[in-house]
Amino acid sequence: MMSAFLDAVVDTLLPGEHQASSGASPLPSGTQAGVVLEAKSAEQDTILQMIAQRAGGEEAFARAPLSARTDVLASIEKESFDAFRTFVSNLLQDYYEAPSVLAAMGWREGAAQPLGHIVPEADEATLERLEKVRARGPLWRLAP
Amino acid sequence: MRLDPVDIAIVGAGFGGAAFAWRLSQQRPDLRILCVERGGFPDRSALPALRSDWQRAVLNEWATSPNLRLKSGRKSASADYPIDDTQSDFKPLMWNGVGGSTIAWAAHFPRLHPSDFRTRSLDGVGDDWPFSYADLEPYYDLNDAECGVSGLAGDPAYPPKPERAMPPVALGRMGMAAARGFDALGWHWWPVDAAINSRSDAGRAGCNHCGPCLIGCATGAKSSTDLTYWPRALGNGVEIRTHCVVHEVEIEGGQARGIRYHDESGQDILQPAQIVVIAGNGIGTPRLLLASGVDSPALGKNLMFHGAAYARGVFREELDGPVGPVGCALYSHEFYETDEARGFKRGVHLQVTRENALLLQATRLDKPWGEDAQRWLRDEFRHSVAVLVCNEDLPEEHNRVTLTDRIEADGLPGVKLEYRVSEHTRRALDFGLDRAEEMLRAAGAHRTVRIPVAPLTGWHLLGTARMGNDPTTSVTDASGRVHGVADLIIADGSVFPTVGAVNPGSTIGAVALKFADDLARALG
Ligand SMILES: Cc1cc2nc3c(=O)[nH]c(=O)nc-3n(C[C@H](O)[C@H](O)[C@H](O)COP(=O)(O)OP(=O)(O)OC[C@H]3O[C@@H](n4cnc5c(N)ncnc54)[C@H](O)[C@@H]3O)c2cc1C
Ligand code: SF4
Repeated sequence: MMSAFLDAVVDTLLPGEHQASSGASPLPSGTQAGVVLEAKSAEQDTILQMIAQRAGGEEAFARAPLSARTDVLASIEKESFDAFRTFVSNLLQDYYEAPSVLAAMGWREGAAQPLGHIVPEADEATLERLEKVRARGPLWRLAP
Repeated sequence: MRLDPVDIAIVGAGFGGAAFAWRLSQQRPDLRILCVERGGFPDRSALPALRSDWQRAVLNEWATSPNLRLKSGRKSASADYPIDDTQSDFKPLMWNGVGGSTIAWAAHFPRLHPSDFRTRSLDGVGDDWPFSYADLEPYYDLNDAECGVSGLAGDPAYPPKPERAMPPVALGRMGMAAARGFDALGWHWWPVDAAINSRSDAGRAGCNHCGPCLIGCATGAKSSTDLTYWPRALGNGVEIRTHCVVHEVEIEGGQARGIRYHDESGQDILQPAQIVVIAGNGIGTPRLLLASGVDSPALGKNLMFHGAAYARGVFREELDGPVGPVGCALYSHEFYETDEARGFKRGVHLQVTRENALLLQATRLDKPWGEDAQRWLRDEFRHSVAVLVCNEDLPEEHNRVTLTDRIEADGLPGVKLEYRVSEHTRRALDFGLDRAEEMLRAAGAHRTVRIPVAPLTGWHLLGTARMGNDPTTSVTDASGRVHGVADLIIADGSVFPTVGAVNPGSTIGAVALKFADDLARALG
């Protein structure tokens, strides 16, 4: 399959952001994040063939604007929901673990351990709110 | 091969099996106690949280569903069997190995309320338990002490509990936002009891808030029975045989005589035992007992999960993101007890949970691809609070576990679930979702989202071998002894006659400890 076609499929599913709000760096597109569609399984090939066929060929899909490509993918999703979602899920796994994507979302790349994270303890205002609850007295129902 | 007899053969090294083994070995050190478990000990040095691709493990070999783990095609440390769940609104979740589902659990550790033991007498629904909260209370306390609980005494939603061993796990900005919401409405809220070390205790590290508790806890801060009950039970002389699948309980003349299992090499072994104890969970237990010809009319029936739904609030302020023990922050029992004006009996539990990892959050979107999905995710990530709504699912015979005609790779018949969300549960969940959204808005959420039924929430597998006094409607008596089969005991979540609206772990442990004491007394 043409690499331009495969890249267009990836970037239709994961278009990224042109700009992000509040000064964050924008999300890269799938291909910018390094996601590559490689031969994986017969199921994946079937989905890709369906996409190409529905779009009038690989080249036509690759050249179409984002909205038209999105419509093609939506129609395939409707027709073969489970297979399409499995195909998407595989790409999401590569994308949302990519360091550039995690960084754009303001998150740390790498293992969850051994660093862990710092989570703030309840502040004064919260502890005062808790005292109000305590002061209400028992809420539970007596049962023999 | 036929082995030398043991006094007690326990099937399953999960929560119930572990608590039972430890307590009995403590009360009766003279007994030869064996536990046979289909999986192995978890290897903490190989847990995915130590790798940079840990997020994808959540969707594959460490998925919470055994079916998804099997489907992933990756080698999993859980010794799974397939479950036909096509006819079940909730998908069963579990872990099969030493520690059982506590390896994957969130360790939220609430007790049932006193009223949960008396739903028939108080509200005319479900059934009364054959013992009360007061009867179980000493075992709750003992189980708390053995598992290690972080929390705060003084919760007015419960009868007084002893001081918790450790302070509550940190609430975080997310928890504080939710507390603000509950407070604005004048509703009850309280930091959860968590079977998680909020600081180092009993030889286990303190939680460092890494986030993904459901893929095993690499620090050991999360209590799981491979770290709590098992080391002490083994120290007392209990033997555990891992990677051995029990496929039959030997029953002769109405009496259990032992178990048959395949060991790791595939050899078929007969292990005679004076008493057999089954703790395979609400699916594994009826599967094995039905396959062994136990014909109690209630066996496999009355499967209960707890109805579960979510409301999520999106905030403009920055919150914590996917950090801290995912299921353990705070909860509200404002609506736990029956109020007939709501149009349903019994109540709902509102549990504020933390964000999921980015990848999981992305895959759980209604439509996980395209510009809109990425916009949603940008909006929500590090800016959302989720509220899990659980309701008291009631026992209904048509919700059940049965065997299929297939023999699975583990040598046992296949197992199938039939479970439908009832009208009662639907009403309770809708009520709970309304309240959850109200709280989120009061806390400052600018948008809320509802997930009316969350299928991948079948964490609690309960009721399929219920306790009771009547052998036509229950499987065991108040000590877990199977009606009509001598020397056969069940000691896991399947014995619950009703389930309250809260997570069951704390009660499963307490009940197993009680059953062990009952047996120790009966043995003289
Ligand atoms: C993802 C997840 C999150 C959860 N979160 C919470 C929570 O926050 N709070 C809470 O209270 N509960 C929670 N739970 C539920 C809780 O973990 C379970 O209710 C509890 O562990 C059940 O105890 P059990 O003894 O009934 O069975 P389990 O702990 O499941 O143990 C059963 C054991 O039996 C073994 N077994 C089964 N059949 C055989 C056989 N034929 N031969 C040999 N061995 C066999 C299995 O391998 C397993 O190890 C969660 C569960 C999951 C899966
Ligand atoms: S958040 Fe805490 S309890 Fe959960 S896995 Fe990480 S260290 Fe363990």
